[in-house]
Amino acid sequence: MRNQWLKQAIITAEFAVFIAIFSQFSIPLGPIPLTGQTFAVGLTATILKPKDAFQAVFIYLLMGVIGLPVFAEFHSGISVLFGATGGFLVGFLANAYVTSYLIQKTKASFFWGIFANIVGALFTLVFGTIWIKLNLQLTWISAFQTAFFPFLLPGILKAVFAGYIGIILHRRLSVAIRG
Amino acid sequence: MNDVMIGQYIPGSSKIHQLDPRTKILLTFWWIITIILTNRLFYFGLTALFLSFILIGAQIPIISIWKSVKPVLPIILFTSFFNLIYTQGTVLWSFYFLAITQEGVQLSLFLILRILLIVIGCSFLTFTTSLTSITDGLESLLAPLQKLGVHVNDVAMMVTIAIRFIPTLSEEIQKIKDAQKSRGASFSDQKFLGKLRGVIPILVPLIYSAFRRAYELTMAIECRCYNHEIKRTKMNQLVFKRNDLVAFSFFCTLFIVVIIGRFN
Repeated sequence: MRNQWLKQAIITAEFAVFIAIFSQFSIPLGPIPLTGQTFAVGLTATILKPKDAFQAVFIYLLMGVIGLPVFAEFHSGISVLFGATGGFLVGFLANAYVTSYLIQKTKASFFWGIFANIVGALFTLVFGTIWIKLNLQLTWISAFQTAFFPFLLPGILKAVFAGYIGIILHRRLSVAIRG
Repeated sequence: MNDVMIGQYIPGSSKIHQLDPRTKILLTFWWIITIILTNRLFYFGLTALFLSFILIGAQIPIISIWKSVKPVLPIILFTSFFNLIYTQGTVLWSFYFLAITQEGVQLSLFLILRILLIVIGCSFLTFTTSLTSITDGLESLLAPLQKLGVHVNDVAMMVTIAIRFIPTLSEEIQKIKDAQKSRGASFSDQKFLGKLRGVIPILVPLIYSAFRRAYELTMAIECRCYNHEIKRTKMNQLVFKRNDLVAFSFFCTLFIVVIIGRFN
């Protein structure tokens, strides 16, 4: 195919839609629901190349900003992005890039897939915490108590799931992914 | 997900609906800055009055405004409560170890007002502007980035493709789920790992078909001689009109009043 760029652009757009659709789902796993949003971002980062993963999340955020109800629980608009929890959404950008970059630089094994997803998830949490601190004018301690510690364990668990499933998909679809 | 295509847009023919999307996007950011700079109750009242005129002018139903405010309410109330009891200052009322101070009341009240005004103000953009208009507006506003090597046109095209694919892909997920069920897949496994592995039979065909669809669509676009490197023209050109100037001057006046109030 002559236009490889075009194919990548369409795949990126499709992954943005996946994140949007999965944001509305959650798989109940005991006390911690596996929300689709974090899962889909991790999955996108595991399957796509760093630049494409970043772009997919960017397109997803852009769709939310222009008013499509693609954020969790069908929310949308600039106000969500600039609201108290907007940092988590912006953190997804860093998450996608870092996770994908780490996987590309290492072997796409279960260990590295899960490790990369955990590092990415930590980026999301740190972004979210800094944002909430500035947005609600909290102290660092209360910002970490509100936005970091309660989500740390669920975040890591979700990252483990996303890494595990992502690597399985990566192996089964390796021919399609390599194009 | 099939009903999300129109976004939050409420069709209408008011003066605010007719404004150029670029004006509305710029004014939304200006609005956020104005509200952040507001620091007196009187000026909060003034900005709220200004906002209510805009909402009445755009004929936006109260129920839609409530829907945009509802999700942020819990977090505002939660933080305001902590600000109320933890802020040091002149004590107004105390109960054992809890003390409510004048500064605490002021901080909480301003926080609530600030977030509510920002949320409602920002939602007016998506209430009065269609998805295509906002995409066009953003594309035009971000066009200078093209010189820095960011392909704004490509991003706009990807957003358009993504919007087009929302119903297609959500329908496909449902179809794959039904197809796997008819082949005996069980999605009601009670075990932890079983539940987790249950998503694999859906994700594998879903992602495979995403790659296949991308291939087919690329072929179709290539057959029509698409070239992303050349400059594209638009059927509907965006033009600033008199209304836009009026809107800018209203916001500018409000901004100056707020700034004078802040430093006086």
